[in-house]
Amino acid sequence: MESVDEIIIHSLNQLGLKIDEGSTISDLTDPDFVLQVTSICLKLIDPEIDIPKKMPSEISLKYRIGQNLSQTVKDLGYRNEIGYHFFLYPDASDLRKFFLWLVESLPKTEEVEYEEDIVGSARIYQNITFSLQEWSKKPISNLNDILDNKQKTKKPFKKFETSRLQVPTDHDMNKEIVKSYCEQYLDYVSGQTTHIAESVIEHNDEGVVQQQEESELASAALDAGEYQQDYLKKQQTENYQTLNNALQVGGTFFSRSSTNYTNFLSNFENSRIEFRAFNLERNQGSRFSNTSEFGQKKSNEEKTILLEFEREVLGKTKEEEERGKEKEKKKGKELLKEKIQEKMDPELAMENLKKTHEEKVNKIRMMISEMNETLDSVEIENKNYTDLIMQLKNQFTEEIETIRESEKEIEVKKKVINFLPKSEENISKLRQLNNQTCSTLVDLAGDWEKFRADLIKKIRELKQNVGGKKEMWKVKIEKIKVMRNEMKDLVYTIKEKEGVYKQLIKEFKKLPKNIHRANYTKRIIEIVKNVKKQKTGITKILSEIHDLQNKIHLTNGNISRSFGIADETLYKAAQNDLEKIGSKNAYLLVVEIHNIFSEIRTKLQNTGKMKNQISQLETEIELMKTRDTTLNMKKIQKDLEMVKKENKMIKKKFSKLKPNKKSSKKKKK
Amino acid sequence: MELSKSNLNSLSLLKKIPKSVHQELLSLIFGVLLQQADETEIEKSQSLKQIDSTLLKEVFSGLITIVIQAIKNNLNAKSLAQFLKDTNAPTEFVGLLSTAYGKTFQKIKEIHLETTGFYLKKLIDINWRMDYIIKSNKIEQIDKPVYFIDLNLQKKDGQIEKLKFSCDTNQLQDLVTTLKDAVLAKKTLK
Repeated sequence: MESVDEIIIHSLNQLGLKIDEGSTISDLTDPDFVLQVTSICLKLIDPEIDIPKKMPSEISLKYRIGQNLSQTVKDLGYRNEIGYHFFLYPDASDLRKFFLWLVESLPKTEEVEYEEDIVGSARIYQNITFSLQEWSKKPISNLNDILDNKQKTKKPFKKFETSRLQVPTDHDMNKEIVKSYCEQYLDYVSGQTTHIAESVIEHNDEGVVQQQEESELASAALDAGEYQQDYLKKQQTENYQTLNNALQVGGTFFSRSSTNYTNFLSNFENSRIEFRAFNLERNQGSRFSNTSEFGQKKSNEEKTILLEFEREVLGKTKEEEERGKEKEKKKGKELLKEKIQEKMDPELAMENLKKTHEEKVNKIRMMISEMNETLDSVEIENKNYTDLIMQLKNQFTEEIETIRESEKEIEVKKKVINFLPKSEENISKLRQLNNQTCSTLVDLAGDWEKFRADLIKKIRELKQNVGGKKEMWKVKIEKIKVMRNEMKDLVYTIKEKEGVYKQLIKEFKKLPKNIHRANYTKRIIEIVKNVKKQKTGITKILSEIHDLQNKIHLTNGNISRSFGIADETLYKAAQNDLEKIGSKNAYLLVVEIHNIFSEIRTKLQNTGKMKNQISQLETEIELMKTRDTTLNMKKIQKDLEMVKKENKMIKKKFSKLKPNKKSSKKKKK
Repeated sequence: MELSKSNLNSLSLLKKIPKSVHQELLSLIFGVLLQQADETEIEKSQSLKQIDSTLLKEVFSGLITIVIQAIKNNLNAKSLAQFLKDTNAPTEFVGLLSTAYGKTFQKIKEIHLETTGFYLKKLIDINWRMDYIIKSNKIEQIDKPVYFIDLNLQKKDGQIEKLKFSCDTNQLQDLVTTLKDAVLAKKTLK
């Protein structure tokens, strides 16, 4: 139990209480102290709980505080029994449980925060947010006061203005002009501007941001698996394309000047790329660029050689071509002269042309309007004709049908007319035919009956089958219904279990984590070791007890046997010589000795039992002592007296009040 | 504290300058920052004149930025020394710089950094009025409200400036929503 006490006291000391590390819980049963600890802990658990830190002197108030406290503690989830009496008369064992619960339900404070390595703009943003947070916590008037005070006491404010600084760098020293400029004309930083601090800050931040950009670019290029330069070019062409597309989509406004714009863009892009490439070369001096330059030189040389070769081959044919060209030129000149003569009077020709054109256009327009009119009329006629055709077609089909019907009638009538002259013969023939057909009909009916019986049988069988199937279906439907009910039940149970799961998760989240885990494991291990030791001790003691019992039995047996032998021998001796008094006496003495020893044995056993009882009683006493009942009794008695006193006081006050009232009533009368 | 490459480089360039001049250079730099000295004094002094001027200019600007940045980040002399030890700066120079910095940093802060700011005008008060326009000279029927808003702004020197403008409901709503957005944005920072 000491380790538990250590843990509790250690964690209570962390809360700002001053307790000796060596003391135990049983030293801390002062109700004022308990109240102090609980109020501190409960405030940490739930800052809204408000509990006084000291016990009031009046018992009734104490009782009320105790009740309130026990209720709040129960509401917070303390499972053991707790009541007002706990806070008034704390008990060591209960107090240990209660403190353990308090310490465990304290909110976690050991949260390890990893400071991330934030650089550049992210860091600046973080700083901004942090300072804004700080600023927003302050009341506004306060800020104003601060500013006003500063204005009064210190120099007048300046506005944050910067001017661009020029600082010589190593890279510039390669160029003579820049170097000479830096040496002779460039001023010191402080001479370049009137606000040094701001400009210097800007200059520095610019450099930082540039570095950051470059590093980001390098990492992006690494991710893409390309050289930095290639990646840059790729990205720029992509950007250029997207921009160009957007401009083209942007519509007609740019369409006229699009060529100019694209030219401008490409120029811009080239200059950007060159600038970037220059920067990179300056920084790195890449081999790649050198090799490419070398390659270009080679190709230029090859081109000049090829051109010279072509010139030599073509030189011979040039003369012939020149002759042909002269002839063509002469023809062209004559044609030109004719055209020029025509164009001597351009205005007249233009007017003529215009007139003819207008006449033609007018004619064509007239023609078009006429054609349109005729087209319309033709269309209308066309529609009428198609309607007519449809009507006629319908009439035609109807008439054809009527003709067919009439033809059939005519055929029947013709046959009847043919039969008329030999009517009797024909009638008899017809009767015969009739009889034949009757007999065939009867046969067919018999066949039909047979056939029908089979069919009916089949139908019955099928019906029976269907009935069976229906029963099956019924059974299955019932099963399905049962399943559905089960499903509903399952859904309900699932919902319930989900609710339980959520509650459990909430409880789990509320549960304290990582509080002195190592200590607990150590404790558990120690306890397990102790239990093992105690087990071995118990087995040893048990074996010892067994040995002792065996020995006791053996000695008992020895005693009884030896007494028997002694008894026999002495009895025989006594019988043999009855006259001798010595042997008789000896026998009697032996019997006496035996009786005395048996008494001693029983007494010994009794003393053992008594000792056991004594030890049991002692343990009980110790238990009782731990409960501190005697102290509590005294306290309770004191408190009872206090309560009685208070009651008396109240009674007195009450009685004082009553006569006053009576007197006042009397006065009124 | 973050420094750009060129400024960090200037620390390593210090090795090219003889140690005897370091103290003079530093006193000059702090003099400039305290507004007690001028960069023209470099040309007056014999020892500094002998050093390559471009090198001196670079180192000069670098050291000034380091001091200003350190003050900006509110570093004390010890933490500045710690920072400089991680760079290429020679150790003796670090000692000199940090001691001089410790003595002067409060003054430099007062001169340069505490008194500079962006000075946005402060909004003190708002007066507003709503007029309902039924019709004008040219339009027969308008039936729309117009808001007249006066903002009282305080300048940095305490003078009050009035900003007057009128707007219709849509514009006013736009203004209000942007203000609300700003307030929300500030709340999310918490």
